[in-house]
Amino acid sequence: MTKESRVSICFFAPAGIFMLVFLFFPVALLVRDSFFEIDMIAQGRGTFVGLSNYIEAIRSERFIGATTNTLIYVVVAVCFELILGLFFALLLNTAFKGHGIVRTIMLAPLMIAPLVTGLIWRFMLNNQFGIVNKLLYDYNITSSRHAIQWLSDERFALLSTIIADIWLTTPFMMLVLLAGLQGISKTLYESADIDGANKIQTFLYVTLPSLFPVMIVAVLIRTVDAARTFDIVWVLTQGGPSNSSEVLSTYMYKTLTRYGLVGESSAMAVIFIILLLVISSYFLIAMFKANKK
Amino acid sequence: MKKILLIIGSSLLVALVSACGSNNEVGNAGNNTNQSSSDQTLTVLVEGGSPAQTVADLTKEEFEENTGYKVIIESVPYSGVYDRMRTELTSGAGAFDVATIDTIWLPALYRGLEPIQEEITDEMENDLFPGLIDGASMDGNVYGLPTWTNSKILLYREDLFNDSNNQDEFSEEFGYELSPPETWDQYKDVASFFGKNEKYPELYGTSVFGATSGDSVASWLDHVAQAGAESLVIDESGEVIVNDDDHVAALEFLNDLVNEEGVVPEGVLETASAETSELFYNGNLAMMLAWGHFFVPSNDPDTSGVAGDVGAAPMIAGDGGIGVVPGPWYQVIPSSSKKKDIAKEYLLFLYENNELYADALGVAARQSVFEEYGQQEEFAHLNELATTLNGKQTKNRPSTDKWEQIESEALLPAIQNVFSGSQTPQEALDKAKKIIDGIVN
Amino acid sequence: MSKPNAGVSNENTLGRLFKKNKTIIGLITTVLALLFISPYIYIVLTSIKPSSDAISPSPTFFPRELSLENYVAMFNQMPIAKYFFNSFITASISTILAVFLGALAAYGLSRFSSKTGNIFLLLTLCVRMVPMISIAIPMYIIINGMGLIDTRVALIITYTAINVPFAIWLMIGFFNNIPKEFDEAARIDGCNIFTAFIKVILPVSLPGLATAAIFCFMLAWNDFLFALLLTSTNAKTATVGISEFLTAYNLDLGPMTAAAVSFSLPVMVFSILVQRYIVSGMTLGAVKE
Repeated sequence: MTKESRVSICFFAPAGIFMLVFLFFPVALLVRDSFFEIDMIAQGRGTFVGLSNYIEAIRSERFIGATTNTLIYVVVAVCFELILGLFFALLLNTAFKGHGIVRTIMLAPLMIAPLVTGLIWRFMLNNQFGIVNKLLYDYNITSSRHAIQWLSDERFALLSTIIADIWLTTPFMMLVLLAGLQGISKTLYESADIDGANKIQTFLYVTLPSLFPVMIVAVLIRTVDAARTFDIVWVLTQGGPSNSSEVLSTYMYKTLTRYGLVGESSAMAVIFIILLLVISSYFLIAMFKANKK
Repeated sequence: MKKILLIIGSSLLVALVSACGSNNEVGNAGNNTNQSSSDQTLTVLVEGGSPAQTVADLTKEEFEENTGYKVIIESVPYSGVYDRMRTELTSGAGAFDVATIDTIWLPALYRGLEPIQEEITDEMENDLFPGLIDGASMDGNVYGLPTWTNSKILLYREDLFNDSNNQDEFSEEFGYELSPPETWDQYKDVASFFGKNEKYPELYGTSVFGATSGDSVASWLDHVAQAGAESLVIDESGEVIVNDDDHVAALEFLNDLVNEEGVVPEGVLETASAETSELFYNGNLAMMLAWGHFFVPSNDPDTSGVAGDVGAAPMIAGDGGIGVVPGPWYQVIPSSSKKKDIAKEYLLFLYENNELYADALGVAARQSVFEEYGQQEEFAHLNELATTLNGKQTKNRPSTDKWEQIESEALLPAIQNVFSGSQTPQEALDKAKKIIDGIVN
Repeated sequence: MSKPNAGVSNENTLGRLFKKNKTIIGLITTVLALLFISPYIYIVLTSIKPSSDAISPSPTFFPRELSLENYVAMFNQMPIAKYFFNSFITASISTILAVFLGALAAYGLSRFSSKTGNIFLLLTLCVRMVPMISIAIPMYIIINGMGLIDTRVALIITYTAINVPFAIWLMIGFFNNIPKEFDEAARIDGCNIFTAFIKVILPVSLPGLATAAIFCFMLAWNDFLFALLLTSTNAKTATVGISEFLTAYNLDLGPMTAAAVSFSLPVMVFSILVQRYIVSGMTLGAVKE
């Protein structure tokens, strides 16, 4: 071993040991637990049950339901965030007078804890005390004070959690896309101008393709984070009513802490991680390709 | 090479020490003084903001004077109590010596708890409400000493009930006197009378609990007991009876209230105790079936807009009579505690101070406390609570360590599906039976 | 704060097309932005309503009268100042640790091989994919075994562990851009490799350190799950405290909004001051502003 590589290892060692003990070890325990049936109270290491936790999870209606809801949550939330974020980013990019201040205003939700976001929306969407239904009624959009039961109607509960998520993270999209827009070289626009492209053509053939690599990164990060959302859903609906807003993270939480089914919950977590890896590897490949260009 | 390692090592050390150092500085006020004499401490786990915390705070000095043991109070949110207990019992770390827990967690935790039947005298058992010791008995041992018991009772607006116009109109419409309802039919009549009354556009008759919380299940089970059920959800032989006539009748009773327009607040599926009491304090409800401890704050002008006008009555009766599913809390000792003797002493010490829970919450576990406090006007609900708890149909939940799972996987969705109109009570409970069969077998 | 040159460059292209309408676009955007953040404004306004108006069946957007009742109640109901302090201490110390350990490791790796960067990108992403809830129980067992339950050290360790891969990855990107000749020059001046790192490399990579620090801090400050599980009384953080305003005993929405505002406002102001570091951190360094 060269002296240089030894030095490198020394620099890396403190962080490496730390991650080994407090990050990889817990994850390893998680994977191990997924193959065992564990009695939380009887202090033992549990009994090995092979893949039966996995089979049970995949076959259960509840797991499928939660997975579907998670998919809906991720797809709807990320799409809306992307569209809204792009919309705001384009507006801000026109560099009107005071755009810096507006950008700063838009940053506000970004720094709010997901838990607090959940509480804010729970407060506003509450059927009896919430302001959303009151305003809808005051402006004659709905015919009754209680027309939409945001948190307690099976049709709306998941949507309400998605609204809170969109509110919390659209500024993230906006900020990233804005940075991307400002990174587009102006010569591209000039040549489009010379070619006689109109506004829409410029947007479709210059802006969007140039923005593509940034978009992939933003969508990837949001997809992973939205799939893991726990605080918002837990505070707003706890997965109810009738499990209509149950996502994987809340279902895993219940199975683990409420029902004490460590093995099953660990198996679900492993499936979840694999699913996310598969989905994001698609983005990752796209990203590396874009980076190479 | 060595030099580099030394530098890295020492810089890490400095960082860690500074972390610990700042930690201790702040910890000083809380527990550092105790750590020097860690043998002389007793750690108790309570729910933050609950009467258990209030009473533990109030009595810690006296307990230290009596025994020399300093009481360290750890408070966590409601679900945190269960999470912490379970992880404690899993790891056997001995982090607490006493915990105050909800009765529904006992079946899941008892195998990690210390039996305490030897501490309970006949005199104590007779003074405690019937069923309380039973509720803490598993496999022939007693695992918890009750701190308080509680149940839903009827709270109503005296001003509305005593109004002579209302009385006249009511007897004209229904053919009997307006008074706090005692039966299911009367309850429906009164609720619909006030809920649809044009004189009170902002007023609902009562509320129905359907929120995603155990409260909704508990409230339905009260009515199942009233309908005359012998056992709840699972019978003595282990058979799942959740779709029998009594269980269905109770759900139909609640569903009738939900479906009659204007009788109960909209948004049933997000209504439970806290929302109901808030509406009641605001003057939007004529009656509510609320946990006993809501009586005192509802007559307190600081919290309630209808203070002074709130009366209490026993829980309503169904075909089987008055009945509820009580919600007692117990003090328990984890087997992992290294100070079991002093922990037992602490349990008995708080048993002697049981009236403090009445001060803090307006409820207690000892009948003698109920009798003494029931004399006072501000604790008028205690007599009604006692009548309810001694009701013929009052019974405990089935003792199963799968209760949490049964409750949130089967019972809660069934109730919510009925209230939202997507299933009939019979359909919903048939499905619940299937799910529960899958859980317990 | 904003970059004026970016605006200028676009004025020639996209901007020119809207030139006349710019003021109108500005107005519309401002209105939309205000509408967008109105939920937060509503919470701020609710926190200064009297407690009887804070939760009412007929809520109004603007307060009818102003009152600090909710803020007083917040302090009376729980030792919220202590919880804020805990949040602050655990978030700051774990940030310092994560950034320091991360920078050390990243330096070692970047000088050893330039290809390790991608491994840590993958690692950071993988860590981001693990649902926090599922490592919470193993983590509890480890922390409990060390006797650290309900201490700030427990949270510091946890947050550091979660943040280190991110810090490493972000810093590798920075160090790779610093030519090796730079530290070699420092070594010739008599520094050993460690002092060269401290005295020469770290100061140059300050923007990267700042970005990493902001994100490590936000993660720790906003965490709810680990604080809920690993602490009870002494080390309880503000997020857990805030959630306790809503219990089975009552809905203290007024004090809850007061606490939510006190909790988020300082961080918001801070983040606005450092917003130029935020973008590259949020995209795991893949987008640089």
